[in-house]
Amino acid sequence: MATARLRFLESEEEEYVHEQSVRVLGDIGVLIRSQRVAKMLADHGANADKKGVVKIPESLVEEALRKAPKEFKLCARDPKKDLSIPVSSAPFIATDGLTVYMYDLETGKKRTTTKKDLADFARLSDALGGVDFFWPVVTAYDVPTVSHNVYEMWTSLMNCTKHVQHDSITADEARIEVELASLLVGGEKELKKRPIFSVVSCPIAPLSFEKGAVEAQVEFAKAGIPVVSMSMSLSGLSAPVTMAGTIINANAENLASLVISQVASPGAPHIYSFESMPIDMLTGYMNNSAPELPLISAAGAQMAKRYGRPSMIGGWGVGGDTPGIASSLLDCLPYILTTLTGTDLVPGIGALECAKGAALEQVVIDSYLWEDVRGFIRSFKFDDETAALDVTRQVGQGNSFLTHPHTAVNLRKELFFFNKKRQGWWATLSDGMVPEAREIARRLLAEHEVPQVDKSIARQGEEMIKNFNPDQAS
Amino acid sequence: MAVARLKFLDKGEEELIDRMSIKCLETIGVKIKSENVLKMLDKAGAKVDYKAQVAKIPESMVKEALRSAPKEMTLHARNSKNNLRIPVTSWPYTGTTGLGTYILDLKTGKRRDSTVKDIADCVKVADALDGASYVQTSLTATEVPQLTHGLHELWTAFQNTTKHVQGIEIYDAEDAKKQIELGSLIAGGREELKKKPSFTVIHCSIAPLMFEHDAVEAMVEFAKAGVAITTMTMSLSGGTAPVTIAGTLVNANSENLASYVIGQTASKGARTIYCSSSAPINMATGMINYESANLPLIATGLAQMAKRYGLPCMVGDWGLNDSEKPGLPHTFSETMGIALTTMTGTDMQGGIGTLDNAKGMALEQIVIDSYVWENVRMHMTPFEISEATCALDVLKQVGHGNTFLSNIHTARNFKKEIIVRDKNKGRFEATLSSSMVAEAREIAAKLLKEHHVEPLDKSVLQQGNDIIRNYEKQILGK
Repeated sequence: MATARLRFLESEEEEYVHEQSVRVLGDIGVLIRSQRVAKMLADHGANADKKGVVKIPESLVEEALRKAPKEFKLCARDPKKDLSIPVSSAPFIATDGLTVYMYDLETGKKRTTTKKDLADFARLSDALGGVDFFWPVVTAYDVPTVSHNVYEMWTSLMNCTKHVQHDSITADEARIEVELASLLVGGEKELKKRPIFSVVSCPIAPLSFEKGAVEAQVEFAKAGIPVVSMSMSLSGLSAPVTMAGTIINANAENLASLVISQVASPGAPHIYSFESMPIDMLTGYMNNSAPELPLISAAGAQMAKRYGRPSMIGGWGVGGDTPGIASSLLDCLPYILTTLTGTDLVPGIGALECAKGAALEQVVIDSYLWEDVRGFIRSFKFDDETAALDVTRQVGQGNSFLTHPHTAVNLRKELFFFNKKRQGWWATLSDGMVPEAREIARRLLAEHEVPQVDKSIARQGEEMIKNFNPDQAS
Repeated sequence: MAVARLKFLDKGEEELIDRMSIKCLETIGVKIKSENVLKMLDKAGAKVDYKAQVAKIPESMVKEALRSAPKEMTLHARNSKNNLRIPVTSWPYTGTTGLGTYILDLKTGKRRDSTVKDIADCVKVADALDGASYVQTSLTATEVPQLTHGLHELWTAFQNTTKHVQGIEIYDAEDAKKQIELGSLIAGGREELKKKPSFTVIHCSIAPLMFEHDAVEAMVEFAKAGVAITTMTMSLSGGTAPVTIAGTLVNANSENLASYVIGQTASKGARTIYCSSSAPINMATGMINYESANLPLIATGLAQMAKRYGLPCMVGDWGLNDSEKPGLPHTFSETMGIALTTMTGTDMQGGIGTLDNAKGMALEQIVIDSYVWENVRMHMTPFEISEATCALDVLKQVGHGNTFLSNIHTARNFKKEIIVRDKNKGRFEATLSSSMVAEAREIAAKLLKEHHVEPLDKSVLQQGNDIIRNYEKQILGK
């Protein structure tokens, strides 16, 4: 099948990135701030020093690449919404996650967010065709800080029948999350078969792993929960300013993360991931609209394919500081290009201001626009039938195919039609589409029903979270 | 060097398109409405049915043409600093559009028939803008004799730019010979033209698989003269080509291969550029649909085929406006489709300044398309991937979890490695909008007033004018 893909590296450059990454891991190593995990790696052939710097030999990397599954499913409460990766056409798209404020749907004012808001985002995302899986979009500020991750995961699962992906920063959190999800699927064995959630675990660039997150990663690996090793290698800040240096840093972190998972539990599902880009040299912030973003992303997707790893690279979402499309065409283009890299998963729907905020209207806008963008990333069959030489012979030189039955039969399969009714939404530097998006969000929230979880299971889950006390548990 | 490129076909699919194209040329053949050209191909080994005017081209002739066709070339310009070397290693060279019949008057904003003066203005504005690397002859000179308007257009373009010129209009073989004379004046003689082609021409085959009498005979003349021929197929899915993408690619590729065979048979080593402007038709109107999501996919497939054969190509499009008014009237997904065609690895593309499916042009639109392009092309910046840029030594110095911000390596390299967009041009990038038009109009007026194009040598100018005048006398009896 033919599918459009953005490429940045030549095969020799891919090879070079791999060689250099192996050198990074063997010569410089990664800093692992958990003695337990550092020791685990040392027991398996890595070289750990007292400070926690772990040098990983090439053999361990190769072994991890061999053992990690090349394809698997991100399951959902509703099995019809399971996602099989890798994809062969457009990637699966998720919302953005854990923003700290939202624009109120009724007042239009900026405010902090609650568990109820998160439930609204989850239900709206459940209703929209452009959203394939769900990141908890907003932070729940009305629950205890120590357990907010757990509340957010549970609230998401209660209000969305699609796959849920979030993060976790301690081993205790990881364990209770595995227990909670097990409640919904009927046990830990079942969860291993049908992981209805996955987690994002970010190394800290350059080349270090925080204690809580890496210990949580080990727990998830053991439980069969897919781990996304999101490297945030920011050129000039947390990675060398050169493209080559940034890509190698991000690749090396991904390989290190893969080794950790495979050593903890051989065969553990693991997803290669970049969210890497240059910083804005004036402000020091991540520069989401940098022209290099799609280049780094394309390289990441290429490296993932080279290793046969499913991947989550880049972002989708055109929100600026307020709902609408505040960006220029060219500020939007990098996002679109990242979705063309061959990545399997992409988050980002609904976010504003570099993922600091969110809006329900923006979820609708980003989701609708995505339904058009993915028109560029369809797969086409190439064979004698579609090459259609017999048809050309019948039509004859200089004549028209318009009336030939081959045209009528294949029209809808081969040509993509942008949704004409939504054309007005595609205005850059504009918020003209926001009122309509607001109406749609209101209507879907009022009308869309998410099948409820069995009441006794919901109650058990809530009890578990209430009793969750990470200090006692550890 | 690492450069962003879109890919669509895998190796097996490229192979299939190649095989099917050969089969197409061998078993269906191309219709060529010129006995001279049919005879030429017959002599070279094609199976010709003179009654049906169909030449069936064997694989061996295609292979031979691909062997003898130049794989790289320089397209020359009056100012050698503006020469274009293809294939490119970063972004494609982008030119203006051709060949509309109306312009929106810069002062009144009203639509009127275009004239020689308008061509001069469009070419001059493009000459001034960095986003335009070459110019097409841009518009139709409607006030001159119809049989010689191509000559006037080419000559006007030469006078108003020191960039490379691409001609659009070819009337017939005689017209081609006169264009070659004009080009020779600019190059400094016939032999010089052969060495340093001062212009290229676009030659359109008629999809599916047909070549018109006059155009194909003109193409033979250009091939012999060393003028690079851009062999444009307009394979329109569902109209002039099968509706399937595979069928469209086979048709477009077959026509290009046939053009190569014609050009190389006429003159071994003739400069030829693989070219397509193919898209689905709009099923409602029957017109070409440049806003289709299939557009970049077709362009990518063809760029891959050209690369496979090692040929320079022009399969991208740039030109952001198919409406009758200046601005960015399309949605950003539609505009993105156009932008994606530029990332296919194409070496050239026309389209700057176009309106209304290339029926018209506006000076404001030249400014807008050029400005937006200057930002889009940055995505195709090449980067060095080497031991030095990998910077493991720097990584080691900085250490785990620390920052590169204050390291000297960052200060030294950030200007080279971090692309900075021209924020000032951002306001030109509002889709579904004409808010940037007023500013573009002022810029166009300023450039027309202030930009100086080195004039042609007086005697050259005189000779060129005479060539056109004498030819008009000869064919029109004036």
